[in-house]
Amino acid sequence: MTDSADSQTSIVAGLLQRWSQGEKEALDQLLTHLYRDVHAIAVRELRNERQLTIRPTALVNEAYMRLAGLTQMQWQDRAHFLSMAARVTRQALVDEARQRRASKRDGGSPVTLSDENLGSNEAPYDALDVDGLLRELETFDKVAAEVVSLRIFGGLSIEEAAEALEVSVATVNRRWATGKAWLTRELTRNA
Amino acid sequence: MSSGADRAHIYRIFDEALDLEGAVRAAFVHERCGANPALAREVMELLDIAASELKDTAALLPSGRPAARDLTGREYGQFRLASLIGEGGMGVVYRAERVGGVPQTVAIKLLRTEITDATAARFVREARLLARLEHPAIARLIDVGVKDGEPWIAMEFVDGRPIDEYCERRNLDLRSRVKLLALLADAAATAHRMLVVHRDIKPTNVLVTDDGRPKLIDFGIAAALSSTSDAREPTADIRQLFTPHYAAPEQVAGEPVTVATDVFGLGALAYRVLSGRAPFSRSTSALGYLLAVSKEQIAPPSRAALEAGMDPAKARRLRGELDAILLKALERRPAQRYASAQDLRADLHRYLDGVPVSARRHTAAYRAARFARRHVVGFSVAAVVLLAAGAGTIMYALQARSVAQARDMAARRDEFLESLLKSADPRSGRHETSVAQLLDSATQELDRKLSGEPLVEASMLSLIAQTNVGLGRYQEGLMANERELKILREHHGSALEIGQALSTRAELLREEGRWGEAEPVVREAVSVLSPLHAPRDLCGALYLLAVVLAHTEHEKDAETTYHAVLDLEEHGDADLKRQRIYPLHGLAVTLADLGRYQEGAAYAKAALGLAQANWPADNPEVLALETTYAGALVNTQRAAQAEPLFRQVIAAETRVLGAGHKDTLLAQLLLSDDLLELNRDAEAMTLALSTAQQLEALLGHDNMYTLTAWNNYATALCSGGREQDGLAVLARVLEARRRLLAPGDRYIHATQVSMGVCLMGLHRYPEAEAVLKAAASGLEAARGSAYRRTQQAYRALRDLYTATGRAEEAARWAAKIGS
Repeated sequence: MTDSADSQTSIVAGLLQRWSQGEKEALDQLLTHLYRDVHAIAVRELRNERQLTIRPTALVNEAYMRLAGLTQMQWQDRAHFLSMAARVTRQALVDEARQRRASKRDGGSPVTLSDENLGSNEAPYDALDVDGLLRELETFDKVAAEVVSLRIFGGLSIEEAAEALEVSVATVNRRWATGKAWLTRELTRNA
Repeated sequence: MSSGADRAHIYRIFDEALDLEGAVRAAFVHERCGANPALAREVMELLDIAASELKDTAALLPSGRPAARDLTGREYGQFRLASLIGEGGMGVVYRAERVGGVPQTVAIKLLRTEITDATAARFVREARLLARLEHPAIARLIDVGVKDGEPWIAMEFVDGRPIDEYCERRNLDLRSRVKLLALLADAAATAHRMLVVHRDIKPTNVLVTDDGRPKLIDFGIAAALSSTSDAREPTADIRQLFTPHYAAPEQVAGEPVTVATDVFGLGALAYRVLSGRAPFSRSTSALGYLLAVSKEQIAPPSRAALEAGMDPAKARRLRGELDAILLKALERRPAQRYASAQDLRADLHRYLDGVPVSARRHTAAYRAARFARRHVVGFSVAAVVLLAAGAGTIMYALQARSVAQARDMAARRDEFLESLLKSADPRSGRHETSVAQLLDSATQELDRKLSGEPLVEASMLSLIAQTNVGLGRYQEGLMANERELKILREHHGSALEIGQALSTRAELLREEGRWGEAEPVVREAVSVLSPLHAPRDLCGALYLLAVVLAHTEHEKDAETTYHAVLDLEEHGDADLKRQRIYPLHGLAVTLADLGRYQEGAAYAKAALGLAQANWPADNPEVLALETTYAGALVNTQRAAQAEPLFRQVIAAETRVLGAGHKDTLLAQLLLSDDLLELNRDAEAMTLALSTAQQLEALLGHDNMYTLTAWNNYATALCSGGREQDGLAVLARVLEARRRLLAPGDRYIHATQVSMGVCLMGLHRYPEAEAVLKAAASGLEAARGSAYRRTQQAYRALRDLYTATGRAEEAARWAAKIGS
């Protein structure tokens, strides 16, 4: 196990290296690895009976902890990478939720999210619900939807989100306030 | 439910209204929603949510977890949780009070991680080594344990607030802040000398009391905990084990953690305390931090202070020395930081004294030498607690030498330990290292590094052997001990060192169950130590000899030896006097084995009294002594007095050790015996059965305690009129005992007595007579006539002859029965 984890690490380190040197295809492979990793961690966490909800940010952190070699990188576009990570995580969680719903595995328990960025009430949310609502939000406030997605699936700070979206910190703050309030309202509508 | 278009509409009104306030906002919403009160309500609700959420956006950090259950009132070890005082990455912290005994307030940390039985023992052992860490600025570790699969830690309760908050509230001046930091660096340096790495130094782990004393909490906890994590998934829990903003680059990258990691932690802490901002404070996620810490330049604290809004005149005072010191501590590569917390402390003191600091002197020469600099790979000492016992033991061992010699040897040993930390194989640095692994590599390195200094090597081996005893690694301990003894003998080690090494050897052999081999070794230790003035070592060796003698059925010799120990300890200092608990307890057990119950009971009482005076009531050793004392009461026909005592012990042990713990079960076993004495067969039967089943599951079906429990169960069956069932159980017990024990062993005869009584109940007198007579003579030969089981055989024979009308023989046996 340890050996394979190590070789996994060095593959990823190599990809990071290649990507930072301008090889665009390396990024795709990198994100494929990241996707697999995040998905595997999500599945593992959900099998753990004591863990009823998933915190996407913690999950991404864990996936990243596995990518040793990051420290050797010269980061050309850190915010860009962070936003990719958020997207990949969202995709991995939604896929897993969909699979679970389809196969009614584990009694059909949904993949639920609990994230402090969604407020302090700690109510778990269904990953598919969150995803669906963010898609809806996108239709009337694209920036807000992206900010919320980066924050809750990637754990990006306000500043990092501003860098990733190439907008001002003030804009992110503002979009975050509306987007989050709206999402919270929709998620708790029937609670 | 509103339609999609309506929802977009609501959102837009809400978005616009968010920029307005008070009456203007209300008017705006009213106007835009027109005559649609449902629409207005939706918008107002969104505005309310936004208002409540906006306040805390600044505090959003991706470290929150579901709220913990309230565990107030639950008991952990000797402590009961009183109130929740905090919650952090690793777990929740409660204030707790000692239950019974000397009142004591502690902080109990419940670590949010699951731990398997196998790793639980290792966690407890490694964490307990931390209890030896003492420094005025380090919160003491008081106890550790595992409850329901979750590890907990009891620490000195520090009534203070986090250092950053403390400094800000008091508006502390710069010098006072630097003094606090220097004291903390000193604390870390002390811990590092014992090879304990904190690796999570941050403001919330440094509390300052109202009278200005700083205390580092959680020292080494992260390390002890990580030593238990599954090696196959080294990073599984890493996110819990460091805090963004204070974690060193090597930590976030999963690289080896060393003392340099704490230097970084101290630097980051100083940065926060002096500039008002944490390094890389812009990243709020661990991920963002990871990227920042591995790439970005840290701004000099003087500049960070300006950005954080500090008065420019004040911020300027950080320029120069303090900027240099902090940046050096915060170097990205561990090898470029201060080599130790001690060096950082020295520079802080130089700053306070107005002397040039080394961090600045270095900068010019440093750049030129940069490429020539040896790449120092840190040893992965994440879990390192190595030999906290170290310094004390060695100095003690060296007391026979001249002071100068001793100091020299201790210094050489420290150098060796330090070199271990610095120069180990880089490949070994991939993952966390446990104390056990570190011990092993220390053992391997010894030959190469200390071959010219045999006595230093021997002292190191002694340390390794003793630490292995503490970790329960007896085989490894024996190997180190063997090498130590060989060196001491070849190179004229002092008599004290040889005596101590022999004692350790005997202890290791005893733990391995090699009693026969232990005896000559411990005898040699005693004869080597006797002429020296080393009462503590001599007492230890003599006590061990007595234990070995008692175990090998030389009770008489054991008795004499226990008395010798008692005599020595009687005349020793307070500490030695306290040690009398052990020989007193030994005497209680040994004399009971010899059938001298009254004397045994007196010693049991004395041992218990001494223990109660020195330890809290729930201490497992006190409970074990209470069990012995209650057993002595049964032996001296005070079964009724014994019962409440047993019940009290069982309740306490269930609480402290758990219901299925061996000690708890043994107390239950003795209580079932007590109930038989009191003729309460039904209760005895139920208790003996459940105890037998649990002991069998815990210790196996051939274990002597398991067999005794079945024997008690069978006896209760017979007394309750189920003789056939009882006999079947007894036949099994007898078969096992004959197979396991030497012919003529008292336990074989004890089972025969039970069988005889059972057969009498079935009126199978001839068979009963034969087996009881065999038992009586066997027990008499093995244990004398005063022995409790011998007496039981006599009574059974008296009853048998009375029942069969043979009055003369009945009288003959009755005469043998003691008062």
